[in-house]
Amino acid sequence: MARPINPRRVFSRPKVKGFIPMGFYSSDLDTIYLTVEEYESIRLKDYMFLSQLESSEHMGISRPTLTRIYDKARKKIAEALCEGKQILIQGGNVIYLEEWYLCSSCGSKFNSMNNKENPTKCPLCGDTKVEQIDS
Amino acid sequence: MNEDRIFAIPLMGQSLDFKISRLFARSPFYLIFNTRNHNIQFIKNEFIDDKIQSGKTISKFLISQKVNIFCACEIGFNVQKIAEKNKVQLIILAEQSEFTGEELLNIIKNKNNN
Repeated sequence: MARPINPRRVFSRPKVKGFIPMGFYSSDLDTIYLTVEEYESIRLKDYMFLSQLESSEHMGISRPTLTRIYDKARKKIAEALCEGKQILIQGGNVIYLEEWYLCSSCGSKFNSMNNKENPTKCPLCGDTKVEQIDS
Repeated sequence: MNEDRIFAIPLMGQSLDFKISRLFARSPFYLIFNTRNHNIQFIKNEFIDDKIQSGKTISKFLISQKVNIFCACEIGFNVQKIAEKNKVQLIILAEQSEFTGEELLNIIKNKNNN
């Protein structure tokens, strides 16, 4: 039996669920599914400019595994860009290091210091209109 | 809750009239506010010109000053990492918010009075 895959650590959920192409040749019927761990590998390497080693340590995986995930992510994004396909970010075997919340009163985002409990109040304005930011 | 809540708010200058700095680690000053005794303190960022990892250094310094909440418009990766390690809460202000130190302080004070 194959060894089960360890969940990859992701700092927080992506801001958006995906991207839709625009223009005459765009196709919203064809969809590329980018997993959350693939998104995280792109975020760490290409947005935060971390090295492969740093990124892999951050996600709790080995460097070759990170390279594999990252290559897959880049191929998918390239395909979506060149063929005008929409990208949906979903799925994957991940655990979130932090859950983020949005206060609809003051618009601020915050994390919970104690991940076991969902905050009921905004730590800034104290309003109770708080919702978890979901992918 | 008896635990002190101590905010670190990045400010453009050493007064409450200055606006909040967009960047946390490269902010010239920090306003430190204790919600229990309403104590206010200004700290100059001595690490602002550091070429690398200023976020790491200033975060560690603020945590040594017993800060347990970082409040900013943008927080970089190094600051996030140090905050996560030390159980510091992060608050990212709404993108369009351009509060002065005093305005933000009033919001926090009102919350703690309720």
